[in-house]
Amino acid sequence: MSKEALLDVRDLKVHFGGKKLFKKAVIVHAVDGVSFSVPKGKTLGIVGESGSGKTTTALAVLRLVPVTDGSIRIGDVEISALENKELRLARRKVQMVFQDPYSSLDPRRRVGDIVREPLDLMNIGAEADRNQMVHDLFVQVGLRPELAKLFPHQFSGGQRQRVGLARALSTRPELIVCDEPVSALDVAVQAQILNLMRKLQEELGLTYLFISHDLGVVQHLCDHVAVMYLGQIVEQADRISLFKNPQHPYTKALLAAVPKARARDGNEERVPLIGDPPSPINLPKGCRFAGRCPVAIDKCHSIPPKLTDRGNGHLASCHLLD
Amino acid sequence: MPGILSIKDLIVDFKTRAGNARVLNEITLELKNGEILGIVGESGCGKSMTALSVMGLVPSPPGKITNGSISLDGEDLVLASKTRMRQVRGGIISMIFQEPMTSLNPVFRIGDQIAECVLLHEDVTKAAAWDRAVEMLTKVGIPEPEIRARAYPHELSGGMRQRVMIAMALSCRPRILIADEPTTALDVTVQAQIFDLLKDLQLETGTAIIMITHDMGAIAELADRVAVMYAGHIIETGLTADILSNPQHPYTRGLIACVPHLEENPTEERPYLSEIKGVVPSLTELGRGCAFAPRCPYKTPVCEDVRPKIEAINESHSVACYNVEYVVAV
Repeated sequence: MSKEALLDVRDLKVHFGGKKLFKKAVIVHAVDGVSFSVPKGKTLGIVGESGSGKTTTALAVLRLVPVTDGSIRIGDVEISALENKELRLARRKVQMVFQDPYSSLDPRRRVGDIVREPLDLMNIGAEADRNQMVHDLFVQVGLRPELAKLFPHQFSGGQRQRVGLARALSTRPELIVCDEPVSALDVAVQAQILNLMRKLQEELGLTYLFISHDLGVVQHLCDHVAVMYLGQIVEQADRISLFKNPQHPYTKALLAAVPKARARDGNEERVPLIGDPPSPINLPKGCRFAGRCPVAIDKCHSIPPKLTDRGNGHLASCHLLD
Repeated sequence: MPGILSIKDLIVDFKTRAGNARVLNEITLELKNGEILGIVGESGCGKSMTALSVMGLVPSPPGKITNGSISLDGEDLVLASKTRMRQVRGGIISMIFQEPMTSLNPVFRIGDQIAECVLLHEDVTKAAAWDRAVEMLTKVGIPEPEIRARAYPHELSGGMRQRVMIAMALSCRPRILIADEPTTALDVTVQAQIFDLLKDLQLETGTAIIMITHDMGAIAELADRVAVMYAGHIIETGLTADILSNPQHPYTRGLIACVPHLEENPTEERPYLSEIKGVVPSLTELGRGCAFAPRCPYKTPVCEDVRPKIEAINESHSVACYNVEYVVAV
């Protein structure tokens, strides 16, 4: 899978903090050794609870947070070492759609200008053609082009997320990183945006890195899924294998916690996860999930398990599977 | 079972620059003793406003209750005095909100905040109120309650804060608890913990719960009965199992169908999600007809002309739609 991969991330580490004057060094291990790759034209979903490092991983792919260690390759370009102009050039191929369409659009600019800005910055197309390009982008995301004159506050949440998509598409990227793009939207609007994202992927051959905490949405949209817990991937597989045959106790608990939108048949017993994830500052010595794991054994508390192939590329890190 | 709270023909109007917005339009609802009633709908459909009306917290001006009654054991809360409402709030009807961080006071210890509620409503000593606070924290499953009672809100995680909110809301043994999107800000694993807690407490205390949410999954998990709201109207009510397996109103059907539900046995086939076309209408521009008509695939001329009344199709299931038989047959 890594040969024709558009995005290939190896051993990515993002640590925050460090030595403070008069204070002990505090290091937050936000992302701690994450590897994955996304084939061209496919979607990788990253799921996990808040604080699991999924958003930091997404930001690192765009170099929007300092990368502590590891490699990030997009196409043929290793972007983890690029600076200034070269980095800006590389970013043309990868764009981002943010979670909150209310705060990710400049309230003082007309949406047409917001969508046009990347074209001007990256010097894409002839200047005279750019208004036509904005017009086409609006049509592509299902907005009436005459709305380009309006300001963000005049739009609904769904329309704003369409503007966010148009802006991301403006540089004709190959990879779009989506950080919870539908979680701030109402369910009916969410369906419209998800369908639009799929349509765009089919038409333009886009590759998505899709960050979400909503397992239903991830199952619907993604081809591959990685489950993150406390800065690490604990399980990774293709969509069918992961949801049909989850291996890691954390993935199982996560799936069991999702409410089913049907009448319960009474004898469904689910084992609730107790407590909250530990802090990413003082990490546990063994498996990071051991403290909350319903099936942990002694070994789990002392030796960290390795993420290994459990057959057909289904990766999971758990001592009980060894 | 007798009803403890009954809302009848409630109309709430908001004066806006764009004209009069009828945020609640002839809402009729009944909450039975000890049941969990779910209210679902999209943002702006009036579900939170229904809760605020019951609590006597409709912001006024610009809002105003222009018609109808909210009767709590025969007492009309619309006409109740401010002093009486202060006794009702927290004492008889309690509410928990979506965002526990902003609903707790950051400069007081959580034990004091719970004790304050007890002191306001009951004639007890400070020490007894503090003990009650610790007892409530134990009940909602907070480990080391004596120590945690002395903590400040910022020292707790999101799930813990929501537990504190629940402890506070239940500290005076209310008869009704209104939960306004209590788990929207929380992770699924924590959400499951909160649902289990609410269910257990409901069984133990017999408190009736009104659960406001946009998530059909949460409804399926918790509620006995559901009311579906759209643009200020209740368009369908019924038992949870009936609504989920046999929805009648085109909007309810759309709402259930447009969510990508987690399948235990996913297949390679992935059809596009079904969409409800268009957007929720502005409340200042509702026509005479059914509020959903502009988006409805089954609409007939009469739908755009006369608003359908909500009518019972059997003893527990009511719908506001002219074309139920046709819609269900399709």
